[in-house]
Amino acid sequence: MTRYLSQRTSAVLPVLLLVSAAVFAIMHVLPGDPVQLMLAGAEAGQVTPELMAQLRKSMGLDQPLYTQFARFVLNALRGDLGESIRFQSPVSALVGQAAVHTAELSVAGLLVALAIGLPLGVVAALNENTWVDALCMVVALLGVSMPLFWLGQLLIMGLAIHLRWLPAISGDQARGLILPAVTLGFVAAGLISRLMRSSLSEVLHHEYVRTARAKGLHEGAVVIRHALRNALIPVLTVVGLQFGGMLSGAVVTETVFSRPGLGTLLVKAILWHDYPLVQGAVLLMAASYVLVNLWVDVMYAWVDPRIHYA
Amino acid sequence: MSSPVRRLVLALLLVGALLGSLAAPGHLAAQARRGGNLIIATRASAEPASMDAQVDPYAMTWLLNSFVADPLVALTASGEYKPMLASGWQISPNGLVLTLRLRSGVKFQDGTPVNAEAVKFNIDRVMNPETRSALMANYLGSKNFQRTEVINDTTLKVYYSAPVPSVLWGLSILPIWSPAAVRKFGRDFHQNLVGAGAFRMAEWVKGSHIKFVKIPNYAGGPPGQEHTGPAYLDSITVRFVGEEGVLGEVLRAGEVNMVMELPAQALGNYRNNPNYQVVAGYQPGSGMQFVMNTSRPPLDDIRVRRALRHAYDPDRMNQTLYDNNYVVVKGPVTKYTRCYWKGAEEAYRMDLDRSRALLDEAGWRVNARTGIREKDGRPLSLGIAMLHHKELGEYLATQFRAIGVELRVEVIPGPVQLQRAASGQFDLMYQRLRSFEPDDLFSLWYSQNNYPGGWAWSRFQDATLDQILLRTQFTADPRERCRLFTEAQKMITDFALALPTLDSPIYYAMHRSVKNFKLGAFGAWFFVKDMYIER
Repeated sequence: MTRYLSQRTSAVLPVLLLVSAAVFAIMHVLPGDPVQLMLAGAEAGQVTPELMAQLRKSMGLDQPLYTQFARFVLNALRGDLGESIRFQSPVSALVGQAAVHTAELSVAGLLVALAIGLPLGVVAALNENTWVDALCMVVALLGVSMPLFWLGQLLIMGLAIHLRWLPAISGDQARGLILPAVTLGFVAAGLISRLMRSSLSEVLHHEYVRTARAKGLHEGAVVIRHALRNALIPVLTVVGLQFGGMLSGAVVTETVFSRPGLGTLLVKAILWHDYPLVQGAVLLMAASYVLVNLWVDVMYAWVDPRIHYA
Repeated sequence: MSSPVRRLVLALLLVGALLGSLAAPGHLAAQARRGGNLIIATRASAEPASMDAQVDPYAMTWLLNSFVADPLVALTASGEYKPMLASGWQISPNGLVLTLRLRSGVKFQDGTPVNAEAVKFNIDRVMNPETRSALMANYLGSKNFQRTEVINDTTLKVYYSAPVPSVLWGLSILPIWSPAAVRKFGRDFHQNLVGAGAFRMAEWVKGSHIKFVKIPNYAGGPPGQEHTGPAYLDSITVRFVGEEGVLGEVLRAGEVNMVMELPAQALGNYRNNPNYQVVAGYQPGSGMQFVMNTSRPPLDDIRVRRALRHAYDPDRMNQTLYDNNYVVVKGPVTKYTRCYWKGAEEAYRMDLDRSRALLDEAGWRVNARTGIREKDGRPLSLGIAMLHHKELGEYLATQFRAIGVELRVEVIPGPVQLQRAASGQFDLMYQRLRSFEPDDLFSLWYSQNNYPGGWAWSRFQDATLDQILLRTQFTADPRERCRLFTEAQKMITDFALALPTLDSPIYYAMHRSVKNFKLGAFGAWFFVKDMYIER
């Protein structure tokens, strides 16, 4: 286990380096000059070439690309992600503040996804091929196929604008977390419930479940104690991946609900060609994704002791 | 106490109370109910990156800074410059020395004095390249700036090598910051603003909102506000809303008291509804125009350019697309711009026959099969690139089709627009500049401003026009400047260098309980110190 963990951990750095290199290359291929955007924007006014050259130099943007990338990597290893071109603040501080909001939303979304997805899948599996099963799967299908932004706007119109039960613009209030979390969670719940249904349905046909029933165990105990634990293993993988997916889903959800977070910050950074900020935000998102996957692998062993790593 | 006596005492008490209330000063009674927390929703893309307008080049930052910092000079709603932190100013006859006299006894929110040293610190800070000030440095004349000199505690002189006509405009939006606070917070100052205004910045949650809280001992007065003393509002919160559809609804949902930049399609929710008031803020500047690239065919031919100008009518465009909710622009600047030339409104009436004749004259003949004009086997097909308002391009495409011109509409992001403008790879390019003074005309049409970062995208060169525009930048006399700008507008219109269309006003919608809302001299500005929420 320790050897496996150390092997997986050692792969994290090269992955992050590759991600950084890819983002760096893409940002520099895209048209646009961050200095020009910073000084004049699209509709502001006159800037002089001298001022632009001066700024480009002071930000190190006049250096060759490989020098700029090497400097970014070396500084990142020391924990310094540089300074945002547009915000003129340390990237680590900007990304750190935003990450707290995004993590809050992602965790809340995941909880909603689990709260909806798991029971829905279990109920469907226990009532396989009945109208209850069909109804549960229709709900799951809605979740899987519904675009985030559309669901978000639908909830805003219904629950916030017309019924006035919840705020439409959530900002950083706790009460404002409900609608974004439901939006994000409902979409993930679709996949979780479908997987939960098929996994549990399969497990319920195994012989050890039949044996448990033959021994006269209560159906609840059979399902919860014997079937559910084994059925959860593939679901756990998807939950891990869904958490990663929620980071990207947060980009849309944060915009629709006007919430602060990594998503909205990243969109702004891309529009402004803010290279250091884009790299810092993507690096953090990639690191979160990698770490969540690592955590899921570790959880495997905990849920199913039969799993061993070579 | 017997009953008649009790009744008499009660009656006397009642009369006394009534007289007492009548004797109380009316304004005190009125002030007692003035206050409230104003929550303004606006679009998320308007959220400043830096809250320091000495650095950030956007009108939203200027406006929000005005809550925290009073400027030296106030630009009144009627467009006049009046002393504010300054008690007066003088520009030397040759325009090279600006003398500022300051009010004495004014303090910043941290208790340090607003004196000549502090103002010198602020101006020097803007001029320092390390501050990375863009627009503000230009407005204050960084190109011609020489030095600042403190004469005494309340007098300061600014020396230039050439006149700076935009200096008062610059001073009217320049926030004066506490030097002690700037030194204390360093790079984080923009998140810890300290000025001499009526509110302090209490909180900024990026991507969500900025909150300002009243300074109780603020002692300002006109021209920044109608009353003297602290602002009426207890706090102002500006909420940034990511979705346009949501921005149009949040006021109705009761989550905010006011919306700034209400989408035009949401106007119906609030107009003609007695619970709300809608105010339109009109913008000076160029409006939404499409600059023609005169450096390559076919728009290097003035006959083709004029043919396009005669082929559409901005009035009809406004009616068709926006139910007349936009502002019609027919010349190089909107009618809300200083030194506006009214003659532009009559210069190009829609006349399809004239358009066709001009194109015929230029050698473009209609291909009967395609309906598109051709010359030397090449079709008259033009690209039009825009950032937003795609419908404007589509409308023009339909109109131009009638004269045998194909228009290919393309929506591009801002960075691509700037890159194409710099490389000259376009036919018609969306462009809009906004500023109170007409100096945008210089930025847009002086041929030497055609460089990466410059705005003279048409690549048009005319020695006379250049000379006129250059003179506007060295002329201190406002009347002469206006004459020159008018002359420039005539020439730009005559050369048909752009397709003017419309401009989107800034719509403010607010609940009827929001009182004393007053627009500034340009649409993106309003005065908050007299505002309150009626309880």
